[in-house]
Amino acid sequence: MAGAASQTGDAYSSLASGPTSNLLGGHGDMSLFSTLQPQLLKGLPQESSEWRRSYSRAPKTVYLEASYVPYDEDILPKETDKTLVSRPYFHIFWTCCDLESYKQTVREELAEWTNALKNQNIPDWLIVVVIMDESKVKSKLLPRSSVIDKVRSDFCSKTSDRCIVLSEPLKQDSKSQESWSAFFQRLRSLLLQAFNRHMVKFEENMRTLRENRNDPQWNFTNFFLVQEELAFMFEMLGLYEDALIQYDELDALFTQFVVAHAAGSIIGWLTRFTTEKTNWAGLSLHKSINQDKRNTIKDKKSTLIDLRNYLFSRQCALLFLMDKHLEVAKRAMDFLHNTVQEVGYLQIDWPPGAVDCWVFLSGLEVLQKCDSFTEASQTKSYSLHTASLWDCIRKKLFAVGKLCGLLPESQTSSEQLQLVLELTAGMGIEEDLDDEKPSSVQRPRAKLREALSSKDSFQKIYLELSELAMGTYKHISRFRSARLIGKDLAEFYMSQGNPQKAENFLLDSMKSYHQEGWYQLADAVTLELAECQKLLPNKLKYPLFILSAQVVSSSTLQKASRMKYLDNLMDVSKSVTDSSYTLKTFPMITVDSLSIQEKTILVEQDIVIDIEITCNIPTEVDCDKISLSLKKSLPDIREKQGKRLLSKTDSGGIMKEQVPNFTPIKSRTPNMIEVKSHIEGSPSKPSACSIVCVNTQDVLHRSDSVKSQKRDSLQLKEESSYTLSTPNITLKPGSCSFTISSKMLKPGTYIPNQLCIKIGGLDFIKTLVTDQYFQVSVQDPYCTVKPVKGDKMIAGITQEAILTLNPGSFILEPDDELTLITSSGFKVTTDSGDNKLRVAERVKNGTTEFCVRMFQERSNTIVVEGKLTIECCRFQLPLRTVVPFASPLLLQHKIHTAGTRKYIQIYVEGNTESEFALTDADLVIDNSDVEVTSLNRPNRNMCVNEIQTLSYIWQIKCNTIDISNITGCFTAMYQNQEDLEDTKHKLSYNFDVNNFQTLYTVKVSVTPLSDTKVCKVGSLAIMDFSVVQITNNTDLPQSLVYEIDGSTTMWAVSGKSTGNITLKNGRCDVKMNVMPLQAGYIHVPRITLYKQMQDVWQRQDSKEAPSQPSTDSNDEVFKPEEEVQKAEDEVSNASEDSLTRKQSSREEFFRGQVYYASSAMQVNVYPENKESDIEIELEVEILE
Amino acid sequence: MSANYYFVIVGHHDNPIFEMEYSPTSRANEPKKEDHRHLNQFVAHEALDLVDEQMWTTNNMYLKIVDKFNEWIGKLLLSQVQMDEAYIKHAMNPFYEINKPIVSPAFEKKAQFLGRKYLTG
Repeated sequence: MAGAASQTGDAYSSLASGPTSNLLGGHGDMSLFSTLQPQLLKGLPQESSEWRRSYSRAPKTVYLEASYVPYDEDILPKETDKTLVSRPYFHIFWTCCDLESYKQTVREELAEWTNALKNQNIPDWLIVVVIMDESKVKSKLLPRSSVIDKVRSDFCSKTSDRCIVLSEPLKQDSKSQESWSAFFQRLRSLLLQAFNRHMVKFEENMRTLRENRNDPQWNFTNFFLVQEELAFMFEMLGLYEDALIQYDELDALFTQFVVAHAAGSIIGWLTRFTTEKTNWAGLSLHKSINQDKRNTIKDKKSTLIDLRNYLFSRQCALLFLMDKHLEVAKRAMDFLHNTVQEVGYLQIDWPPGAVDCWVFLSGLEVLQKCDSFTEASQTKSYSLHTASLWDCIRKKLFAVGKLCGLLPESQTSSEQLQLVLELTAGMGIEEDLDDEKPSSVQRPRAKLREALSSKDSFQKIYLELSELAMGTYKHISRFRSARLIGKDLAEFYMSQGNPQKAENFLLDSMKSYHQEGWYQLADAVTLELAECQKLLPNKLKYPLFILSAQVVSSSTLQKASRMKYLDNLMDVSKSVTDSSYTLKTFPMITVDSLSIQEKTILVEQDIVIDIEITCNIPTEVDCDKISLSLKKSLPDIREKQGKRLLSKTDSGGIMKEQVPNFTPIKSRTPNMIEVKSHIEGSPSKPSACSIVCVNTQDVLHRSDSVKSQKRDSLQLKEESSYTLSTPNITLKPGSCSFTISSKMLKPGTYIPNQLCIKIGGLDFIKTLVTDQYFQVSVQDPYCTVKPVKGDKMIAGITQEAILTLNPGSFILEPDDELTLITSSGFKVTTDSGDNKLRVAERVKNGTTEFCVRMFQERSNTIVVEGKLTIECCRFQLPLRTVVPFASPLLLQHKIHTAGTRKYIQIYVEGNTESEFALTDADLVIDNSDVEVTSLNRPNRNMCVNEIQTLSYIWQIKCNTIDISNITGCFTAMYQNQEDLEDTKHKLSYNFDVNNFQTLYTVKVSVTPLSDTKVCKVGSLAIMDFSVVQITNNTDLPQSLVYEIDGSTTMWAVSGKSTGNITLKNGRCDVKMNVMPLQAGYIHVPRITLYKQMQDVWQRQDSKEAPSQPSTDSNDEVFKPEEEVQKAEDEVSNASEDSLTRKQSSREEFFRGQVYYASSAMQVNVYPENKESDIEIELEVEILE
Repeated sequence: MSANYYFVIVGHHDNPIFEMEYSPTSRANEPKKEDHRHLNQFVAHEALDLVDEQMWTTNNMYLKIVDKFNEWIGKLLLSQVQMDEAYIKHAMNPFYEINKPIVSPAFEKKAQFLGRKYLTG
């Protein structure tokens, strides 16, 4: 009962729909088989079995499913047959018979069947003996007499597992179930054995085939089909991963060939792919296997695109089977990229844009397919891969649109229309969608066709895709990519004439590039933004100006565009005249340094400031004015005179997180709040007054959260009353420097505040942050006077002098008149003969000199000060100065006495180098009772200078002794060579002389005590001194104090060196012991007489013993020095009070009142006797 | 591919701190196309997005090819050992502030040399 041959096509189609299917050949009792088939079909795939694979590959768990065909000897595969799919793998003989029928027919059939299998060398078979009724079999008690035993002994003597009993299969009891499961187990393991055997053989064959790939005759298509068969096999077994590996290997192999081809190796079969021309149909993931495509490959008619599309669709199909939709999206990008590369390598002659079309179609197909699978929860991870796909197809669409002239600004030409047709044709025909539901989504091909159909639809679709791509990028936080699309969109909008829409995209990307420091890109975008702004009907042109400035100063942009914008700016600056636009200097001009030449200047002087700037303008620019406004600052803020504080400058880094060993330098927050008064309303009638902080931005600047240091605030021009400016400067590209200077009129401390570069109606403002400053101060004028000859001005003569005038902060203009006003006795004569001076030339920052004659009256002091006041209309206050004059002659008078005769001496001292000649000296006393007798030699010229003094002497005779006071006047004429007048000047000297009459005469004599009548050193002598009253005037004091000069080393006086005496009858004599201490002619001890002060005397009296004249001092023992000293100390200790009083209790007589007659007397003292060697040196100091 | 290469070192804040272009010696004399140059930068900048992602997924310093732009390959050297060395040496310079553009002729020379060695060959 042989069955009919099965159709391979059946197996094939089942493969496509069902999970797996293996072909089994069935033989034997076909009616029996048909009763069993339903259970058989159901039972086999119910349990899995482990497939232990050869080559130590990992074991896999597979579910087996089979389709059954009746046996036919013709369909038995030959041994050379290499197919894997649609091959009968396994052969089962079904029988259900008793012994009788076995022996008669079945046995024969079996033999035939096994022989046929053996002939084809097929070891995979199984004999199933079905026992419908167990009871019948059981009744036979003879061993080895059942059918199964017979079959075993006849056919399976060596391979007992090739025979199995299936007992009572149609029953539902447990025994029957057991039998079924044993059968399935056996069947599965045998089936797997069969598979494995075939697989190994197949793979070996495939490997050999692959190894021959370098043969010229080798063809990729053949190999492709072989390996795909293996993939099908795996797919049938549910081993999708292994199936995918086969495709991946094919993919890689093909790429390898293409790359090798590109590198120059000649691959015969590949040349076919290079010649294709008209097919760039997109990928289709609609069917899991596109038979048509497969057939074209099989027929070796496929193009590269066909092959690639088919391969990728198969890979995707497997991935979808594995539920790996993500992977599809992930692979898509590589697939597209690779294929495009391959098209390039193979130098396929496609019309332009064809590749882009294909990428678009394929990419969109993948995206649509993926979208249908996407669940909301997966969107994010999904977008990770789709984002770049969206972006890619967007770009491709743009490229196609560009080629076909569909961009907004372009006009479609007839060639472009031709291209559209050509491209559309190459996309192939729409595949029939046997889909249940007509999809709401437009198929890629339709979409592309629509896009290419008209400008509007192209733009619509392009924008739609761009938004999608951008949205997806943003969704996965690839903001940079999103911004790049934004930039493209902006360009698109711009060409569409829609700058409003473009503006935001451009702003956004410019900001982000700036923030991340990609300045080249930022500049490029700036240029675009500027173009955009230009088109905007925006009244406020500031943004455009700022952008223009940025474009102009960009170092990365091309000169042409920079120049264009510069011209723009210049045009604007020319057109605007009345209202100035204020812009920042940055980035067109940056201020590099600013240096003040003189940190301290005077009022009316020029402050000179050097400014160095870097000009980023590509060409020379004439600016109308550069001005620098100054800010007044409190002088005490700037402590250090003109010195710049050394400090690190802000590094401008935007680093926020901590980096080891790196501390970015932040700009210091100012520690001072600058305030200004702010008045609303007119200054005379203010409506509100307030104090405004000027530097809030700096003071309140937060350093922790500020993202970027850049501030976009507009610069406000500050009004300043102090402005330096320089007109007409040409700014050259690169660094340039200029000097700006101005006269400062008001004193104070100034800080440079704002630099303003004025070009036409545009003001470029830079608020300087500098620690430079300068001070303007007022300097008073001053003058000095110096003699033309000599080194000092001399009073009393007329001298020529140089008056040097420094006007200080003031400036003297020619013909300014100076008036000299002098103090009395001081005379200044100018050349013009009066007290006016005329300025000859302009005097500024310097001095001017005048020659004048000066005369200052002499006075009897060393220095005479002449006061000079100079008045000038230029000076705020008259200039006062003091001229010191040296007095050339200093006069003194002195009374000399000889007994009662009186003499007066006039002593003239010189004070100058040059000689003064004195003549006609005369003395006049204004008392008629006094006669003056000159003792000078008459008519003799006397000269005085620094080193030569001069004395005149007159004797005064008084006619009555009552005259105690006289007033005299000395006159003489003097003359000096340096005197310009060359006349004699009168010298007069007034003086008073009081109490000059002699009252007492003091006489001292020393007489030796010993008999030898000579004074000897060390031996006592007696000193007599007498005080005699000269006049008879009884009113004269009778109590006097004497004092012996104790400082001398010549005499030792025993007894008190100071004492009181009382005159009796106009006379008093005192004797004292003295001892000469030196040999030779020595003066007698000097005695000075004092007046006694009455009150003191009384007090002294009460304390000490009444002082009496120590006339009887003979018995007083000579005291050694120490004791005397001691005694004195005791006294001083006991009553210091009285002692001091004692000192002040006497009064000196006027000069001349006491005549010391013996002051010149000397005593001859002999040296000591040689008998004794003792030499005593005594120094007696008596405290007075 | 005999394309131009564009090498950029990017700082912490994604700011470029060193840029260099390599062109094969055969093309060295050709004038550079300005537009192309910007495109390079735009692409490199865009690729930072991908670096941000991939940095966290791999321990490797070498991220291989991270981006494909049209038919260009953005090969990303997050770091290349020798370039690393040069950079670290430069960063040790106390006058160099991290994240600031590198302006050092020595560094440039080194980059040029390595570029010629590995890229334009």
